Amino acid sequence: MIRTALTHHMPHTLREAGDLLGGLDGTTAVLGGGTMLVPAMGRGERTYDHVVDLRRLGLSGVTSTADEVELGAMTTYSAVLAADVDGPANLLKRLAAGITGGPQLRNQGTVGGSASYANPSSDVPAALVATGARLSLHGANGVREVTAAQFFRDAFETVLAGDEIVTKIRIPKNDARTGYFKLKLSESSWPIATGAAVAAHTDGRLTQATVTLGGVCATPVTVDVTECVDERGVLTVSDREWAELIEQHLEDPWDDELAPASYRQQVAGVVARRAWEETIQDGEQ
Amino acid sequence: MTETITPRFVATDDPRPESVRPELEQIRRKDGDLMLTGRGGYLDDTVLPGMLHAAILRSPYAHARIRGIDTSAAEAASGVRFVLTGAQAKDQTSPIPHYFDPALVGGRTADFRPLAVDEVIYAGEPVAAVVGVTLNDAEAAVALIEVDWEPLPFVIDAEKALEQGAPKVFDTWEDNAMIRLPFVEGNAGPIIDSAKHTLEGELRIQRYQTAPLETRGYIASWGTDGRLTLHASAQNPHPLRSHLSKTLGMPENQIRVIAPRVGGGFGHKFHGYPEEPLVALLSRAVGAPVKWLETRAECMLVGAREFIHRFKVAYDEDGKILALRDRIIADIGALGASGGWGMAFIAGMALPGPYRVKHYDVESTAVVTHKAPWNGARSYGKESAALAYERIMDLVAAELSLDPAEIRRRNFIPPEEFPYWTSMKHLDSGEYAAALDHVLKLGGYDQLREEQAQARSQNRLVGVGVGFELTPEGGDFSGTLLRGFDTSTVRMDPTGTVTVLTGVTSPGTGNETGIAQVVAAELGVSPHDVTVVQGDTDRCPYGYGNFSSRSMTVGGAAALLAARDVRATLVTAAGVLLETTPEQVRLAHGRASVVYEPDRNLSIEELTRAVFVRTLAVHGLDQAQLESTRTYAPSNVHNVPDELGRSSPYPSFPYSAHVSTVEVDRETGLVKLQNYAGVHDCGTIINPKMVEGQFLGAITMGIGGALWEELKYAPDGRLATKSFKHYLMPRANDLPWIKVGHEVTPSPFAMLGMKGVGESGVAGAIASLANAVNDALRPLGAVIDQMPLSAPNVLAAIRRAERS
Amino acid sequence: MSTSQASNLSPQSTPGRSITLRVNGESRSVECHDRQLLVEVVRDQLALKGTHVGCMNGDCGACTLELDGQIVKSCLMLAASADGGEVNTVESLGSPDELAPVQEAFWNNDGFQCGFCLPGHLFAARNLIESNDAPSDDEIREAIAGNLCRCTGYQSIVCSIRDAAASARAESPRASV
Repeated sequence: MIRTALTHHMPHTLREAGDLLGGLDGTTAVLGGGTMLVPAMGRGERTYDHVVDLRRLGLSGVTSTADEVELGAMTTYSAVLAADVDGPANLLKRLAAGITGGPQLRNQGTVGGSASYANPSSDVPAALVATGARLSLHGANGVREVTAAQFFRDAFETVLAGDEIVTKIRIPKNDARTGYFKLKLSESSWPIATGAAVAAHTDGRLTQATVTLGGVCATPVTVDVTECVDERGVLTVSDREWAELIEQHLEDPWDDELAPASYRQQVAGVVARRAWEETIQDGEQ
Repeated sequence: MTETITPRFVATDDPRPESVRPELEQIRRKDGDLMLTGRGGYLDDTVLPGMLHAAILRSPYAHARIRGIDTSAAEAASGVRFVLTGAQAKDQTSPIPHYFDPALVGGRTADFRPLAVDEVIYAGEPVAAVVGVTLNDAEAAVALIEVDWEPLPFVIDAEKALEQGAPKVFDTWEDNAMIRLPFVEGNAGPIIDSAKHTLEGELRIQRYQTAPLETRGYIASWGTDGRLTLHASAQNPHPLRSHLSKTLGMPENQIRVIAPRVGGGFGHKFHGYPEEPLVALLSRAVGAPVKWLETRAECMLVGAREFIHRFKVAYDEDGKILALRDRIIADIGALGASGGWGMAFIAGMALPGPYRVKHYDVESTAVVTHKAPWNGARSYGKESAALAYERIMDLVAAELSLDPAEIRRRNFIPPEEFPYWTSMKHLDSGEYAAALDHVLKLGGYDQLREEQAQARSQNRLVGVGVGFELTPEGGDFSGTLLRGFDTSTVRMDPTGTVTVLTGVTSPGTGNETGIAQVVAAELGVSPHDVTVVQGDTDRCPYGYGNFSSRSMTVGGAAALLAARDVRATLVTAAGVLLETTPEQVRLAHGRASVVYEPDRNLSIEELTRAVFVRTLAVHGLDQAQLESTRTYAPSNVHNVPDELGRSSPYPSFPYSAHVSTVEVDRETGLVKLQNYAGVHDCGTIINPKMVEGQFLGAITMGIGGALWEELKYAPDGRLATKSFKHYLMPRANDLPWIKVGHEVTPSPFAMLGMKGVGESGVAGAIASLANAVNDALRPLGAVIDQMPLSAPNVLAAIRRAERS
Repeated sequence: MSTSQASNLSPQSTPGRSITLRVNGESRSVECHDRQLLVEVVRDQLALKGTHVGCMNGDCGACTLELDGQIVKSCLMLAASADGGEVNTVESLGSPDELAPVQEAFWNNDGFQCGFCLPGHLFAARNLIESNDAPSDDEIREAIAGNLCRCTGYQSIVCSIRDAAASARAESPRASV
């Protein structure tokens, strides 16, 4: 059970939220979907005097323009699944369908919350990095925008300042083909390794091939594999060479209760390759 | 001994399995209407006026001395009513009696208290307890207790614990071996040494548990009359009461234990835990009821099943096992008073399973380490033995290029040799080959092999695994409060309703339904009109609760015997009232009627009323009660060694056969379970749907243990596995459709021929999957002998083979 | 009105408030502490014991109920976050004398043993059938992937949900289950 004399705040405007986050006496946490924060408080692992609940800030919703898909930070996985999303942002629909924890968790977990939690063993961070997402951070001093790659600093650590929240996530639309592969130990398991592949195209030609690995290191790792594939996207290197290239990019693989670093290292190449293979359809990009 | 027991209470020694009455009515699970509508009534649903909440400070160290403890800040914290330390608890209690004291069988033992006093011997051991107005307050205050710790060297690996100079868990013991248990027959050593064909191997089984969905919980309250009531999510209320009376130094009849509806037991809720007397002490101190609920992280502390087998077998060219040697090491954690260490005994005893092996030399050593103690876990060590004998079968089959099913047929004890003595088991009956053949047919074995051949031609790693388990059930351990018999009372009211009060319990297994069914059939009423009361030591006759799949076999049989007594009174009275003989009275569908003239009848309610209002006023009616209490014990128990020194604590031996297929992803090691079939023989079946439900649940539990579940320890001696995010249990979308079949080979020794349901399935699933995965890896020359068959473990086995 | 057990709440400095919930169709005003979880308030102040606690970590699904029309794990929410919302617990599905079709289906198919996971499964089942009254077995298994059961092995639950879906189809495409 939560052991502190917690005070719950539910602001209705971003201004209010910012004031609370910047001005409350005592330790303050941001409460999004709550799926990680609430149990952690319950076990006394995280203790706060205040929580600022983002529910009433109108931060959910998926909208599309010609150039980008915009998701409110409080958009749940269920809402993502229900939304009309095209372009590389489709990766989010893919991963939303496979979120561990059943329909309940998909109703409660949010994209922005997952990003802010920055758990290595989760799907969202790598997918955001892979798609070149930009996150809007709103704080007491205004709004700033960062790329996903900039956003994730370390395991469970982002560039969010104490008074900042993610308000929206913008994912560019383009002709890139994407592929996704997730490795988990069983249906109860969180991801051990994920691969988010992006095959960028210009005028119908494959111009860049990348795979962003999640779960393997503290933060997502993007590997440029353009040199390893031909114009159709087919691998021009052996599986072993591919794996070695991927492994070279892994500094300090992630180690946890579910799998040791050595295992993640061993499977990273496979996961990346399988994600990439999804971008190839009918032998062609 | 039992000289003073009157004939009404002794075991029936009639070996004929009796058939179930044709009036037996199938009904849906009893209390379904309550469970479906949220009126289940589990421990945490109980609210007593003024109830307070307890939280426990647990040791963060695997081994440490407590130099001092300062509870002043905790005592002063908001909402706190009381704080208790080990020294204070020790003054108020005697040591907690063991569920199964090792000293009874020549093992070393130790005393355990509600709270640690000077020393802790496992991370998670209770050190102090706080009572608060809310649980939040109590937990907050726990964090304020200051302990002056002196960390000490520790050991959390059984083999290391056996090494010279290893840190000792118990100072007074010479070393960390609690007991060495031999199971020997014949001349295994010389036969193995001189045999032409031998093979050896090793199996390492992980520490894991049964993880019921409802964790433990207790509520203690003291009446103004000084009586203690303990509500407990527990499997064995009466023995718990007996043990509490010793721990607390109070008369047993001043204690009432009430087990409400239990949300899963599986052995996790055998007693002997420190929290049982602890909540009683806390409640007495604060003068109010105190509730303690086990958190999921606390629940994960409890362990089981961690074994190493090192085996060697001799076999002939036909694949017959000539002799078997197995050295088993069981890592039982810090012993405790709970009911777990006995699994080390059973792991050895259950060998050589269903096979006709006349020469065996098995030794099982229970080793203590600085980990939380074991408690019972469904299958209770039989899964460990089964993994060994089933891997042996497959390994020998591979050596001889024999089909794994065929080698088993060649080694099974044949039906005509029953009853059959082997390794402390007097096996009752068995048609093992029939069960195996049935499951192969059910699973489409030939087709599975064809599909495998095709997959192999595509370089895919597909494996087929057979598993067979012999599941001794109904254990009777004289000298303990774990007996194989049980007692039920059947009582009818003047208005014709029926109540059964029984000493067995149901942690969800549904024996109330089966008991209601057999009693109703005897008395001519509907099972809906039979209420079964379990778990209340004030109301129910002394019994041993739930363990070893006994509830229906003995509790149900006792109820049946008692119901027959009541029936005898009813038909005698009906005979008088309907002017016929008792033999010509039929009781069915709520009426007593004359068999040859059914229109001459009266309702059961009229009949029961007549018994009460007309007894001694009508000639022929002379019974004043419609109540009987009977004890039933299956007759195949041999607690007294025979002339050859043989004894057998288990009367019944159900068994099951399994076949599964898996596909292994060679790049990730991930195992995908593709097909599964299981066939079960538990003797006579009263309620087929429930039996099937138990079997499926057991299989699924076995699958989880084989593929994913593991309790991992960090190098600092603490349990790293704290939630279901780490402890990976099977989910619906992990599993294929499981085909289930039944054979019925009644026990000649048990009433109605029942052998016991509930555990069989766990071991067979584990064995089948271990064989399937190894079969899948064969083209790579890889072997995996480390459980679980998790992706990292399987990949490691693949990589090892690739390197060599 | 409120049936709060305020005497069980700690004195003084633990921040609290009054929240309003529409619980099983009835408007309720509840005194709670800010730090209380929705499942705590449901079980304690509202005395609705059918929603269970199995893990306090969002893994087991025993605490599943319906909030504002969506199934959620109530151990993951602060009660205060649900203020103004509509909560339906298992007690709203049916009573012992009048069970809903989904409840009958579970009983007919022996879809439970100890019953601890059952309320959560009933919600997962109903949630599925409301959007898909002809689910495949795979879809059924996905729909209950958030709910652990340790007794049944899930197979009888799959049968129960198949049956409940058939009942729903028989009534009408959008019949309540």
